[in-house]
Amino acid sequence: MIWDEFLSDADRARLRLTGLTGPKRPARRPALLVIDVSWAFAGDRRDEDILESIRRWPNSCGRESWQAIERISELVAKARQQSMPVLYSTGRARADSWDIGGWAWKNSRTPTPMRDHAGQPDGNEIVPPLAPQPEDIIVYKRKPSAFFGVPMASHLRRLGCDSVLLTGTTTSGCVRATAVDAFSHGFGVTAIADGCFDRSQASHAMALFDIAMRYGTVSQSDQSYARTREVWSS
Amino acid sequence: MSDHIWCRFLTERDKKVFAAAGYGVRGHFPTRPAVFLVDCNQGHVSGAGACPGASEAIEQAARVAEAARSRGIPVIHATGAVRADGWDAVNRDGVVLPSDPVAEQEFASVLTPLPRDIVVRRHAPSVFFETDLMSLLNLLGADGLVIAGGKTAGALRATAIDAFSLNLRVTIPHEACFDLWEASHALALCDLNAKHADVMPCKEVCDLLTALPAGIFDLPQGAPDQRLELMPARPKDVR
Repeated sequence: MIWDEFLSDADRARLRLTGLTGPKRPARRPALLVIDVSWAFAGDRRDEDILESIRRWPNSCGRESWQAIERISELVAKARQQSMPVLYSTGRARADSWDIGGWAWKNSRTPTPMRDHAGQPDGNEIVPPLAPQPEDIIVYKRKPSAFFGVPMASHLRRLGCDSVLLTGTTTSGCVRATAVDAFSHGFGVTAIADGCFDRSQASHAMALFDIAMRYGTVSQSDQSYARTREVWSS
Repeated sequence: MSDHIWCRFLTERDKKVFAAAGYGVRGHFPTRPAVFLVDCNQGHVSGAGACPGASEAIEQAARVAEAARSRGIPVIHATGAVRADGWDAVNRDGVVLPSDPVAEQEFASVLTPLPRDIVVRRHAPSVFFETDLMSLLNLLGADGLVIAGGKTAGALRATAIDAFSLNLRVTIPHEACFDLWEASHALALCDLNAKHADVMPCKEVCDLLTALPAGIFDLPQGAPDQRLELMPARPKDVR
């Protein structure tokens, strides 16, 4: 698995004894969540190296973003075919950035205005390949979790969902925080490894490991199609 | 950042990206902190759920608590709330449900709550989730937390993220944290230090606490911790 190379020797030995211990709840009625796949996190040039991209977009995750976006697009198309709900989150902030709160405390480049380069799009705009459709649901959030301060849990209950398929970014930040809150609310959690991306390779891998150990399961996008087809068309 | 404990777990690219993205600068120590001890439990020190390093980490956490008490800074303990039959147990930090969940969640002897300490019990990874912790922090007028305990990548991280989302200032003394998984422990501290909290040595945290003016909080007068009985007593046989 993706985390193997990041574990310590002691971790590997322990893992052989425990296996993955995250709860494996059956996902009968999942929703697809697309977390924060905006220009700010994807960057606006598909093949650009991350170290170049973050000159203009401090939060960019580089070309891995666009590889994951292809997988997410496929999953979104499948979800729509099956009438599976698709919910998006993206960030929001006042133009004067007053409301970003703690985000400004730990980053020397924050608050960088979202449009600090002429002609750049709004950083919080969801990238066009994943543009939400009228029947989709969007929550606009200020904090890591897509449940914090927004009606995500209410929406999922209204839709009759029992679980979430998590995609988007960053794996260790907003996706992971959303996984923890989904777990706390009693929803089953499946993170789609190749549909998630992060600026840090180690953080990405270990966030997926933590989800698989504590909060749910980790899957690949091609495995998830088959499962979702059974679920929503039955 | 080459001297941080997480460095050996990062790729070379990761180190460059964290630096170039501007993450990981020192934030602010709270002006009115509460010391918050997550799951410093006997069950992590000994028995089936014992966690490597927990005993040493809890001793470090006790030093931080002592520094706080010396200035009248609130000490808050969090542990799991659980019925004796385990139905509502928080067993999801990667630990198999213990045979005696109540004993497992008893406080470690070096961190038994003192009468003026405050105790909160959780049902989910974050101690903020469906508890009245924020209400108690507002009652104290606290503007931030010093968080220690475990598991670093479980309850501690989830609580720190919620504290961040609530615009509280968070400081983490890293030797006072423990986790079953070395890589999860390191990356949790790395990610938290990058974006959400100041991760620093215990001694520095103790020095910052003892440098605060004494008596800035209106602490409880003192009362013994009372664990709520979550499971109804079995009815007496009725004839």
